[in-house]
Amino acid sequence: MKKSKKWLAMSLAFSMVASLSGCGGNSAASGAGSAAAKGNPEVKTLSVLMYTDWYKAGWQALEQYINENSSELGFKLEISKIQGGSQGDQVLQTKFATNDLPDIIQVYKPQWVESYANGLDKLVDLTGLDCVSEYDKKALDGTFMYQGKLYAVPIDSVVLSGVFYNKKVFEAAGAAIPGTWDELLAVCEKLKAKGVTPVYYSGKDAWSVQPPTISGLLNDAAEKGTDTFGLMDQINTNKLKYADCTNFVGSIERTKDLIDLGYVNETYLSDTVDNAHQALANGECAMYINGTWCADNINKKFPDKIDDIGAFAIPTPGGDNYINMFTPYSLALTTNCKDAELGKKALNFIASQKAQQIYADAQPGVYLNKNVTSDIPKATEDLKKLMDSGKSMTDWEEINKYSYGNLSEPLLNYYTGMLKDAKEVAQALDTETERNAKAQGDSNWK
Amino acid sequence: MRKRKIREAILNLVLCLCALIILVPVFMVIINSFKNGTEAARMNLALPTTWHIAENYIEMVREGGIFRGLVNSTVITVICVFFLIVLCSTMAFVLERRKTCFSKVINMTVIFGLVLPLQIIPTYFVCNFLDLTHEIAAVFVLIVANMSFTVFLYTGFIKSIPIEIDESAWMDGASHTQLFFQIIFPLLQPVTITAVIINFMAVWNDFGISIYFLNSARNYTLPLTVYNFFGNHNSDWQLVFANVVLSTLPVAVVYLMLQRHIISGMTSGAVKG
Amino acid sequence: MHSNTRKRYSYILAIPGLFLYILFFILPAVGGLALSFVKILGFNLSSARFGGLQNYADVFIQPNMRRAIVNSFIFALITTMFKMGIGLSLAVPLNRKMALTNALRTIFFLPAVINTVAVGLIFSSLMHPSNGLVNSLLQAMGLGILAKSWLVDTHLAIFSVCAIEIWKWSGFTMVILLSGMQTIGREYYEAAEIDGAGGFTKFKYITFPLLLPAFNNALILSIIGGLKVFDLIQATTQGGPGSATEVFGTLIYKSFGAGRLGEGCAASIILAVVIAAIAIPAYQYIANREVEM
Repeated sequence: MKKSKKWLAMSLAFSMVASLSGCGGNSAASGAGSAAAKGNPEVKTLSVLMYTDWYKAGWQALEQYINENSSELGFKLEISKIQGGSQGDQVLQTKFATNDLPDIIQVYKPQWVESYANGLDKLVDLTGLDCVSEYDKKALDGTFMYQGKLYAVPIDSVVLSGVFYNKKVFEAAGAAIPGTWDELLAVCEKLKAKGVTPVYYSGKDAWSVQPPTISGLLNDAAEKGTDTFGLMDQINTNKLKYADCTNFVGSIERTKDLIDLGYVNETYLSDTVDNAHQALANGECAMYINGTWCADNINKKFPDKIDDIGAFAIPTPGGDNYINMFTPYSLALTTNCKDAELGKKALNFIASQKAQQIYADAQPGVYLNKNVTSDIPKATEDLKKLMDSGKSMTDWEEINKYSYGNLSEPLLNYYTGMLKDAKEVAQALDTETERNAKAQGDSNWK
Repeated sequence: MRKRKIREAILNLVLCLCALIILVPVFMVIINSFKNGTEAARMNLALPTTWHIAENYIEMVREGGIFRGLVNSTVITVICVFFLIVLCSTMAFVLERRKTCFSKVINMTVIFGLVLPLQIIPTYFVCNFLDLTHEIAAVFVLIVANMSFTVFLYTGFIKSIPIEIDESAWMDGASHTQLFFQIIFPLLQPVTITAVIINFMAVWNDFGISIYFLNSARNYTLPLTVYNFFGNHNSDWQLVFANVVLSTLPVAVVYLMLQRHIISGMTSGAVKG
Repeated sequence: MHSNTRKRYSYILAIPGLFLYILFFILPAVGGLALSFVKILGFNLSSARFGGLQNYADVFIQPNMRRAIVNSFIFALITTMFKMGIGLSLAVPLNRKMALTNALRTIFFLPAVINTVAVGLIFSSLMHPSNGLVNSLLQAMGLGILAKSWLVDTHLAIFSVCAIEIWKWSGFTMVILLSGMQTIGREYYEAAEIDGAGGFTKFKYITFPLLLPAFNNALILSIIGGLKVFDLIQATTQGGPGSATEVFGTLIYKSFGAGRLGEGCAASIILAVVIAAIAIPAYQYIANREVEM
């Protein structure tokens, strides 16, 4: 008697667990039900997965539009989000490995799926989508169009990185936009004399110490008569080491010089990206080296200050200055999608002018779709001009195979004196590359 | 007598000072959840120049899908804690009382779980192989992740319950389930309350397991919603703090409700005299 | 008698729990052990091939290994000492009925319920060198000389992180010790009072010896938690600045993050062995001194 009671309690509890999952099922079913109520049984729900950081105003507007017009479009979206960063990357890697994928997935780019998740075969070839005609072939080549297949369509905007500066502060100090490193140092001296922090670093968010050091790597690529794709090809195949990229090592050293010369905020190791945006907007600092996220965030939080902000390329000793370009994220269709035709239709719509315009209206930026117009902040405009004049290169980190996200740690060790010189920073990056390559069994490292 | 009173007063004063050290950071979280974005980003203790209490919380709830998260967190946590208590108290009881070599080895194996970091990736492969839905997998993994600790807690306590109690109940003809659930389990009340509080906290605040299993639009938990408000490139600190307050509140309430019962366990302590 | 014991404590009661444990812990643990001996491409199991002890060797040649070991031990030692000390000094007075007892118990436990991500945010701001509260207070008290870059000074950072851990978990230790104190019968104290024993004598000869089992539990949990620490470091410093506060837990995390699955598994097994080698003898040592109640 008592025994049966216990088992009853047990089974009851287990059925509770079952009902929990049942709950989830129900809500999906009710979603389909409401579509049926509209009199269109053809509307299917496609699941989408992305990082939380990537779901911003643009996606919000687009999701709303799609789900409100689902009966005409023939599909709805159900968007799931996981936190980004390396933990999120691990979750995605595991999901690729276990084939536990949504219909549509937003990733950095197909190369990431290949190198870090080993899952290129789980993405559907999208070749032949109509929307492709709205893009420059050059813009898609090498990233979205990869090894002869179209693995993904672009989503979100291009991010350009350079030096963001406060025009009013520059004016008050009588400073002009520097074209070379020496000119930059002179500007810093002027600004410092005025009592403003010349350059802001935000070392608490470790990734943000990387952008200032990149100019050198772009020069190395240019010197070799190639771009970052060519340079990374050599590094990815062990034909070149970071430590041998002399301009790169030089630019690392110069970022430390700024600290040693007292041109950087004293508490730079404790300050965050948000602090930086605020300081730049309020004129407490004059310059901040980062991506156009900076302009977007100032536009959102200090809309009255956005017109004070401009941008230029990081000055280098030779004056041949390039800016860094992060390509938009990739939206790809997985082999898990049961109705591949519908999935393609959905991606075709999302990448088309109409949908991209909705996205861009909610979230201004530089979009790859040629027919999209967007009202971008002046600073972003400054950098876009440089890009249009051919002075930009794709971000090195996105296309390197074995050292993604590994620069900031040795860099901070160098700033805090745990590494002696700039060359050791580059060597640390080489060591990490070697370790990862060997762990992957790459035959170029033996 | 007077000397004692003075000592008592000093003691109270010292304790209150210690409490202040605890409360200042907590106060900071709460006060920052009432500020506007710019002031909250400074993260200091100053009072807000303009109060944005309702505004911040409404915006946070509206943007973050908080209600869904609250329901999910509650259901998952309650189920996990219930199973943890039932499964672990019985396991600890049997393993502690059967003083055979075999039971000792099993007990050591279970306790070993305290030492080995959870192998999340192989675990994910196992769940995937068994074809479990994410919600059920999450519940199982969360239970198992806290099992070693709970068994450890119970084992220590069960040791202190005299075996004579078992023997006399057995003589009176109780079955083994009766013996445990009617005689022993009530005696375990203080440790059960402690285990409920600790496991509630651990499951509710879990990030490491939840991020793997509970990441779809339907099943995410409340603490995970904080990532809707801060990311790599920008953050809304007033909403982050409001979110932290809201997701901490249920655990604090559970502790508040249960803590007095740890004390009422005093009487059960007297039983075994 | 023996068969009687066996019947009385039937395994039937323990089987549901053991079943789950084997399925979701032992099996993956064995899987992790197996993975620690293979070389594997990305997360692709079909590419696995036997690699012998290479993964274990890789763990030890990591550039930050030495620093991580030192930091892990510093962290475990300091936090355990303070958490036990503070936890005990809070539990003893709060075991009595006083006006503020309930309120104070709740307050001291509060930090434990705040999630780690939030704790990281709070303390990064409180310990900010120029506008953090800690330094402002020191300056206000005329102790400006003691103001430090708490979380970013490479020599100091690991100790600051220890302080945060102590802040968060001392109240938790207090609760474990308090629940242990509930098992001590009143009659011991009454007898002692008749003999005219003072507060300290009672603590030394009754409370502490009888509290030893609970104390032992809390101590072992603290040592294990200290050596395994990951969440708190990740939330406050991410092992930085640079690699100044790297611990074993963050190294494992980075191995997995870089896709070095086998190495990550090997590292977590090494960590488990190290912890077991320290925790088990410590536990036995104290357990042997426990008095039977």
